[in-house]
Amino acid sequence: MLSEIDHQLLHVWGRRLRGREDGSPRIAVVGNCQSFGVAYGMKLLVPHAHVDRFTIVRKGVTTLNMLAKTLASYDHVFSLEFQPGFVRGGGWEELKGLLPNVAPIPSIVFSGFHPDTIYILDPTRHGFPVEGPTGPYHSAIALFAYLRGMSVDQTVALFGERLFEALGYFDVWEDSAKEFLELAGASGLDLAAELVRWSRSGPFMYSMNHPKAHVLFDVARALLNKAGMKTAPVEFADFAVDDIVRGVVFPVYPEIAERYGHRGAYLFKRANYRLARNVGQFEDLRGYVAASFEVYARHQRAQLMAPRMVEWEANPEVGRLFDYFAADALAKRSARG
Amino acid sequence: MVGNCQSFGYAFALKLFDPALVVDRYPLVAPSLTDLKTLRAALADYDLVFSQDFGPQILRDNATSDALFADMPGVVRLPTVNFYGFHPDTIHLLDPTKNYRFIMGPAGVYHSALALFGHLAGFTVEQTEALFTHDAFAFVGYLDVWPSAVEEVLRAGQAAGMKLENAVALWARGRAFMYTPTHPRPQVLFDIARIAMEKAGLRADPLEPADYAVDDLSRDYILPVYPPLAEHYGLRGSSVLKLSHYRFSRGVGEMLALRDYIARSFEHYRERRREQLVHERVDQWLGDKEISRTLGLLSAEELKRRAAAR
Repeated sequence: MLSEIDHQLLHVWGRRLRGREDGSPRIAVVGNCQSFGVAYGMKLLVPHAHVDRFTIVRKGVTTLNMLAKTLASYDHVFSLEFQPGFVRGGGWEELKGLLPNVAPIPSIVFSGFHPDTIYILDPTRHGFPVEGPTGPYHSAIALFAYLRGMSVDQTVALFGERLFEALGYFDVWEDSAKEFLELAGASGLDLAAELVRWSRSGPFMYSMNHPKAHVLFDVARALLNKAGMKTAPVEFADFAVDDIVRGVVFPVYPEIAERYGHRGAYLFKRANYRLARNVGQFEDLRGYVAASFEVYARHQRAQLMAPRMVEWEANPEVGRLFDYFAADALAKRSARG
Repeated sequence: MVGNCQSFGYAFALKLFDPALVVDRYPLVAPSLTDLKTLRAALADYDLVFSQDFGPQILRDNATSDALFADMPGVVRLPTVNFYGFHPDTIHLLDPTKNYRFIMGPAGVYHSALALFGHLAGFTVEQTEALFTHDAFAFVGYLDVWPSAVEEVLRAGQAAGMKLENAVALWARGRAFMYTPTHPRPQVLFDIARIAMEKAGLRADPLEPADYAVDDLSRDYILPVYPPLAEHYGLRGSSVLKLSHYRFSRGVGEMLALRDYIARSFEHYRERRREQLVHERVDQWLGDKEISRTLGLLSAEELKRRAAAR
């Protein structure tokens, strides 16, 4: 089956054959789900540019040579890192070998707002992600509670400041910020001022690797500035097309959001790309935990052993914390009647 | 939720503020095969029906929202928010020689009155672009439209049984709250949906909508708030126009700078006869020699100023 990158190459070649390519300079943006926001931001900042996006999110039939040959005709090529396996013949490192002028785009990953989010990469299926109600993103607390045999009621009762504190969820901001700035630095960008501005504006991530559109716009501007391109003064908020929000939104839990002066929620948004058809689905915490448990029940224990689960299971103190906080919360609730 | 292009935002907000609701949307944006009886039968199954007004030529039997509201007295009405305060130059052109069908230009149904004037007055693209200045905007009254634009929104609210004074004041504090005169930003629709939920006796969860701001309308055209007007409101404007683009997987869409927008508009207008290009405001400018002369003068002065600055 053809993937997004295959379709895009066919589209670009077809357009070239028909001689239908307008705009200058010619800019190519290569990468995952974050690439739309960067490409859109570049188009907005340089409206007369010709901007093409090459999406790499699934395995396709495109070879690295085909991709590099297509990209070679652009004036500027920006690319997020991608692992070998999506494009035949290599990944980001190999692309750099073929196109030395390709400029790296830093991947925006920030766990500060989502310390409870984990991936479950099924070891019995070559690390294929287990999909739950919010796609590949899972709640570590929900999964660990499930593995301990807790009920939905007990699990819901666990979500609160005391357990978050005990698990260190309030202490991840600094490390996340440091990692983020290091990643940006490796791409030659200093985004420290931007990070402060984003943090002030509210939770700037929909999930730990899905930034809001204004973040990607700022990254686009930084990349263009670094490439020496003149950008138009434009207020992004007035043109804020956001592709990523159509996907999953993993909430920033209120207890965590409040630490940073924002309002959070326990509202889990499922992905919905067909806006013409429906408004999509949301889950509250109970619905989310119940839906997650249904998914976990269809898997063997070994399939669910994410690294954090292995770590927590090896530490009896974590299990005791879960048991205590669940019992304590339910006891208090019973006492209140 | 029954309504026009704004109804997605309303329907999405209902679901967002109370995820337990089952929300279906019935878009009424183009002539359809459905008649009032069929629509009525589908809606009868719901506990609550929210609806915007709709006119004839949408349902097969030309029934309007009045007929629906008469049939279903419990319908909670939601206003259609039209606001020209940020886009006073934007006009629609209806072709009198083709049964008043919309004339489509480089920005779909949205045209620029100054661009049309420039074309009909024989201006060049550069001369027309030189009309997008503070002086020209002040002369044609674009800097004075805010109060009447607000009135129009308040009237729409009142017709739906809502007081929107506070909401408008809140929206006005931030960025431009409209993408086009007929396409509001999500915040507008979310705030009105909250009011409607309260009216309907539904509980709306406190929530930061910006964290879930799925936005259908931003995929369509986004018209700039031109700098002379934006500065008048204390905002930063731009002259970039975003074209409609719904296929994100295919590309990022196209933008037009003001000059290109005018040039492409001229190309469209050249393909039409004068009697097709009719608009009351533009015809008034053209018919009044003093107005035409002054606009010509303002354009020339601006070009002179630019030449001197080079």
